[in-house]
Amino acid sequence: MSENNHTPEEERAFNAMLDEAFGGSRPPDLSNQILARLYNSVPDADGTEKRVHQRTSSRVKRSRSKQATVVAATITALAAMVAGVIALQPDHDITDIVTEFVENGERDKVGGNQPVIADAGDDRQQAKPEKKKDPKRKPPKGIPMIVQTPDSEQTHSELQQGGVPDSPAVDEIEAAELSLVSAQVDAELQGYWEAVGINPTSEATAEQTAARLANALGMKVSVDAVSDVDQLQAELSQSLNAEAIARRWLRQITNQRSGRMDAELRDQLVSEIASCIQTGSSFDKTVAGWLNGESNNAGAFFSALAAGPRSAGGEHGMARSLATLTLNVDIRCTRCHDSYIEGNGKQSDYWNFYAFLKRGVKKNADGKFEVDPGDNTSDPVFYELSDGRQRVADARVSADWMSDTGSPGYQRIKGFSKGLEGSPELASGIVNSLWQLVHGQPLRGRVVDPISAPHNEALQRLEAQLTRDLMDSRFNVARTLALIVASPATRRAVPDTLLPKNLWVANQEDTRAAMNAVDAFAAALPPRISLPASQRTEQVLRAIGAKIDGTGRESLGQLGQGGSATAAKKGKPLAADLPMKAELLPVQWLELIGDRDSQVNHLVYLAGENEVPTDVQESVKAMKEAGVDSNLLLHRVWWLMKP
Amino acid sequence: MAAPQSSQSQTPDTGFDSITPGHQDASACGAEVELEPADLIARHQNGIWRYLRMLGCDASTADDLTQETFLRVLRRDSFVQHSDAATSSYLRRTAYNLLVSMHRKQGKVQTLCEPGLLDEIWDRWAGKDLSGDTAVESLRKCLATLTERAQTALRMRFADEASRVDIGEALSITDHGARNLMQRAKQQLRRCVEEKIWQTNNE
Repeated sequence: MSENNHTPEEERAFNAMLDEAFGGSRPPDLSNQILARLYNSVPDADGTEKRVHQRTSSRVKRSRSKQATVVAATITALAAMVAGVIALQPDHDITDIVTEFVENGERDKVGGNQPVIADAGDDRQQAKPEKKKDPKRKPPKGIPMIVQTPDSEQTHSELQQGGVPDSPAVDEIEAAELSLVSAQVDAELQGYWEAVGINPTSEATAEQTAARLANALGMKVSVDAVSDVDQLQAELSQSLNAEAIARRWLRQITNQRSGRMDAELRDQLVSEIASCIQTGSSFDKTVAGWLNGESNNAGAFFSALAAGPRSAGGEHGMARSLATLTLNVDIRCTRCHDSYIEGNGKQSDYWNFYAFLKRGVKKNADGKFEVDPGDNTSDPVFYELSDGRQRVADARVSADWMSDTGSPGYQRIKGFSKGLEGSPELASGIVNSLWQLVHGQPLRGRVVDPISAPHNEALQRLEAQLTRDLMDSRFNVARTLALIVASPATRRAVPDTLLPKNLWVANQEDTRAAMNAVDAFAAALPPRISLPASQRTEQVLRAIGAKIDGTGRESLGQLGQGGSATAAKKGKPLAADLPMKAELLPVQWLELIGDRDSQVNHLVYLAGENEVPTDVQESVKAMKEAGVDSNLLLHRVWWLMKP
Repeated sequence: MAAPQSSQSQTPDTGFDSITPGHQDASACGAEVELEPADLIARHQNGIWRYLRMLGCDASTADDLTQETFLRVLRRDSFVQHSDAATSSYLRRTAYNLLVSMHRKQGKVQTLCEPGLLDEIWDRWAGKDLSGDTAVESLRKCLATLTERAQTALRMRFADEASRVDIGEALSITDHGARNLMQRAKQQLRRCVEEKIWQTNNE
């Protein structure tokens, strides 16, 4: 109570009124927004509304007497069932529980709406099987629905104490019908293409799409499932498929580095991720378990993030990958300097996060990573500012990175892991990561990247939609993946211009338009075989005539030299996506960087490496000697490096 | 209270009304109150927005949660409009739960008291109109009855977000003096508003 015997709530209520009376925020008219969302309309640029899906308002017309009868009959049946189940348990007082159940039911019957604790009941009501299509989410048979779980007990007591409950009992959030969200994603994406002025290519055949998905996810998607989001989710959740996806996703999360970690640890980690996909269990809690060390796979997770050679992985690789997955923050540029391009990244944030990880995650005597959630201190981390001065990092996660949550930032890994649970930052990181798994680039592109989707409000809405749905579904990643796979972006055909047969006859303007469509997920690239680094290097060398076959023999020219006709026939054609001409730089900000070597370094670092790999250095040297145009050289470096 | 039944409704309202005391009046319970979504939103959005502000939401969060509240309720097949008061109560409870869920998801530890207590506070200020319009309008009128110094202090506090020290300096008093002045002024305003709401309700 305050001095005037008013509770803090009363004070707050009155202050809110005073704020308004003195010209502060007033209640806005939200009718249009609510109605647009209610009828699932997408506001067009001119303010008109495009109706996509209209709910039938049968509710208003429904007969109340019929409702009451159905509710009463249901209650009676359930009460009888509950009584039967409880009667088999020796230490329960059947009368109290059944009475309570019937009383609750009576409230249902007479009121329809349940304004007090009824929202908890309403959650249960919403979770009825016909709405939730995931059969794994159904409560186990034989367990009476009114038996309170420890969680719901905790919720009640927390509510009594005025605390914030951590229980589904008060959690109104429930994911919408999968097909409905899929339709919304569809509409948002179409709106995005319209807004950026890109015509999507026609739809690929279901067979082509299924083959493309098989390539991206490492699993076979049935042709029928391509356009049926519910079936898709079911297929993705099958055990073998879930494992294949988990393996690919782990590689994607770790920027391909998980392939170089200990196989046994990797399999354990893959198995845990696959289990999340299969069962639809909360992936945010899995991530939190890795971060706070409570999961058995915590060490494996950090080993995966730090895997790979020193030139790519290590603690810097770990910091980059972890920030991307958990916070959807791109910290590539800020290791060396404040972000000049996007303007919101600070070098201090990078190093503070790096020091935070150094303190919270350590290698033990066996060289394995362990989480240290305690209050131990660690050696200070120094970093060099762009003007050469040295500074000590303040080990913490920047509050700027968690602005959606409104967190003040974290100094301890335990707090960080807790803060990530259910957070929009983690949801957004997962959505972008899964999108990249399917489409090769994250949904929210970075301005610094050579390939990124043009950003606008429509794309932002699409990202927000998927993020919100992931949160509402309690971080069911199989559901989000199904939504992404079922989106129209997956079903786009390859533009004629980009087909290998037209590569040499297409004009520059058409090629650019086609690539713009590819960037915006409105067209697909031709299928390509992922080449290992050595073969990529070889292709670059062959393209400049420095090598004509796999024997390593050098040659001055390709035609009629250096081998027999048989050998020439056996030689593989150059990859269709190997850049052969380039008018512009891969990204225009490279123009700001004076020398070629520094430009190469920046591109390599963008691709997730800490240093320029030796084979890339050799290729650059060979291209320089061959007089390859500087723009083309940088395009080829990116082609060599791109994940 | 004898509540006339809706001519179309065959479901008795007594049970529901019995758990929402203080909301019944003849016009609310007896009249046909099946509003279309647009009318329902127009009728209750101010109230829900102010309720969320009362719970400590900033304006933009209140905007978001108000939208979400209506969407949740309107999409619910089991939602039945019994009366204005019942609908308002139901919307408020949904808003409350959404806020709790939001805090939980964001890992925030913010104390919210029991919904029942909040309802009491809400009833006191929202009064008859369920929207809070009357209370805010009354408050504006009551402000004029304060001394000029008290008005200045509150204006600095709420319109300019000045600190108590700044307010004290502006009025040549200590910061404690500024706090006492504002508390007295707010107490006077409460009485004035309650009186005006009572008068409105009994007109």
